[in-house]
Amino acid sequence: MISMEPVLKRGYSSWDRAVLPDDEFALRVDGVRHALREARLRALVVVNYSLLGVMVDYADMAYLSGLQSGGALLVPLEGEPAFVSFGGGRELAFMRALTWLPIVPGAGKAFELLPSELKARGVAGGRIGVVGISGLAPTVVARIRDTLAGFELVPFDAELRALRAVKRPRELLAMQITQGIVDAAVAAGVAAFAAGGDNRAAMLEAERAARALKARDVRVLASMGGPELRPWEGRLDGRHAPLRLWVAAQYQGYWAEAAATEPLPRENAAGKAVRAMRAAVRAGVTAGEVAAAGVAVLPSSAVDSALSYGLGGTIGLAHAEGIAIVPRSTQRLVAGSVVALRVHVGEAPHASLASTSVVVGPEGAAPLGATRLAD
Amino acid sequence: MTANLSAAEIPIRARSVERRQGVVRAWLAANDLDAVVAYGSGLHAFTGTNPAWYLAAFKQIGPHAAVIVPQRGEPLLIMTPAWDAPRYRERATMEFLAVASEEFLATVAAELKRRSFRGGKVAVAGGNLQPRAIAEAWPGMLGSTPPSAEKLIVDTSKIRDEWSLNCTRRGVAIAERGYDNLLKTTTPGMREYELAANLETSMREQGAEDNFQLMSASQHNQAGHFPTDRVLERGDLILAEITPAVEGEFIQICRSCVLGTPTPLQYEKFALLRGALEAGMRAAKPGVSVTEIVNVINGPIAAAGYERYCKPPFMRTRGHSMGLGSMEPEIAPGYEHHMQENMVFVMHPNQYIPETGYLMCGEPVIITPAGAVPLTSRMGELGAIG
Repeated sequence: MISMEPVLKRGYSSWDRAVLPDDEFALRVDGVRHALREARLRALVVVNYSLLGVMVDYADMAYLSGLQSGGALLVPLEGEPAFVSFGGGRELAFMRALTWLPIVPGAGKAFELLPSELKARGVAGGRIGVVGISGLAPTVVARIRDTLAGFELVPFDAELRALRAVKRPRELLAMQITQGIVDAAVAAGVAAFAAGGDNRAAMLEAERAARALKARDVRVLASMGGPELRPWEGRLDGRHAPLRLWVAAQYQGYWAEAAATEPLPRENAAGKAVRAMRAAVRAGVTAGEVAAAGVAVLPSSAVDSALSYGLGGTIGLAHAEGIAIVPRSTQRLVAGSVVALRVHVGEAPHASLASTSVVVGPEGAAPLGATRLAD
Repeated sequence: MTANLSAAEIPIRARSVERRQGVVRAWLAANDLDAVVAYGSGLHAFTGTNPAWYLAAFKQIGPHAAVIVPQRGEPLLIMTPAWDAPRYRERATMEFLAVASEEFLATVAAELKRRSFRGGKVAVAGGNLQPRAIAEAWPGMLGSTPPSAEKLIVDTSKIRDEWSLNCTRRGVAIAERGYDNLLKTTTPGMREYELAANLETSMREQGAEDNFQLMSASQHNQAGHFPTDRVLERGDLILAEITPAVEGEFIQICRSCVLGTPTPLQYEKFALLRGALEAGMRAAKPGVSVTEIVNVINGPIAAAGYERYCKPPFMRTRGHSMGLGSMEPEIAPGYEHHMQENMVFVMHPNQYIPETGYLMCGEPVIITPAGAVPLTSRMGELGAIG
């Protein structure tokens, strides 16, 4: 679901080593090295330069480093991986507390340092995989290609995303923690509304709860009297029933979302469609088939609204990991991936909002589940 | 009606939007151009500009927006997603089309074609967060690489108009109340992230739609950072860089306070930075270069024996603007910006001092002929909690 991008993801930012210890990242690197060998590549360079490096599209970087920061990550076939930071200043001490990798201060020359850092790891030329370059501005791409002129650069984005798509046990644990956060946030918002508060109070309490439970990034949308969902705007006014409330959050980089309608309408069109989609989820099914299952049980007047907000998709280190549940999509769900399913119907009499998150299995979907962090 | 606008603010906003578009039209006429396309990504980071936000005075939720301002004729906003239309409709100052993200480029292309602009006569301001796919679409859509209107938007937006100042002043008041709330609610035993969460929700409660926030709590801070598990202890020095946004206008205050009673040494070093800030503010008159202001700020700090701490990694900059309109001025060596009347930015000699750790001391200021004037109701002092 589209939500308002905040300027900075400024919630809880410690590295939870109990959930994601060093060896978890080392095992991920082993998986990447296996894929590199299969592709006859000598190293991998992951670049996160999106939004000048401020924590958007961090998934590839975070998968291997734990960092949601801009920079370049080196994974040689042998030897120690490293993170080359864009900055070289006051933030380094804090960044070092967030990753298992050594950090090479880039001080404005991160890309230019790549050849020497690769050479120091025994990679002086040849074929190397690159991730995160294809979407960058032409000037940035040219700078990277110039500095790596002695290497043959082979796009490796699809291969890394395929590895990321199948969630490892500790990734599922992180996502269950996030699910616990968003479930509690929605419950707090609904409780505020049920107690007589207005829609603004529901949004505020949802955000307060999510942040108190260690969410790093929190997105809240709510109905404010019209058919549409709205972001927080400061001077939102009035109590408008039913409340449709949606919360997404991330913990340790992992996203989850939850939603509710309060009071629940007698004909819960959104809930019915979510259940239908969930029943259609299994490994190998196309996203289009899942979408069709949901659309089939929606009142015809509700279909356009539901499709405009989106029916969900794969989720993990990105809120939208790549496969969107849209009609006619031929992309197939992979066993072990996680899918967030969601339906929003804005117009009365079917106004409702519902979601659920499931792990894709060979025979069907299993609930992602939710857990709470011990205090 | 839910927009962040009071009845009194609606005409202010409308006047400023008209003024901004008037500047664009005059520029188009002077350069024999037919139109400007001002693009904005939905990445509302204050390290990046959003020309569409500036010309529409509207912060879109979707990944793309564009304002077409023709030299003659009516402007048009094209925004994403379609379902966000009601939010713009209630504050609309121009015709608009709300479309799905996938339809954005095709809609812009169709609307440009419909207006029959001359080849090579449509300029683009994409902002510095424009995705590659959008940047690469303009030449094909317009027949050739378009002239750039980037500088026009930056130069116009860095001089604050009535609406910009209205939002900025609201932001300043929110920031000050947020800091007051921090002083009242912070206690030993809280964790950093709980302090940050309190500050965050208090800012929203008071009307901010976003907030750039860096903080730290330690007996000896290295710098501001994102909130952690650390438990606050008596004697901690709490740093807070608080930057609420109102209608997309960010404004920043930088504050330091002690959980308990500050030591004489902490008072002394804070006073050193405050003195440097005040010297910088007096010097910041129209026409003065940022290099000169940096030297004025660094002067007393260096004279006190901290010259080596007046550069990275012990500090970053002596001040900066906050997008989404213009990143100027940056008060740091190497920049050639000069002060202009009605520029607004935060001036902050925030830095590490070896005896006390990092200290924050910064004010949002507006440039006047008499120098930089704080926008806050009171300048920051070293605070004491409890």
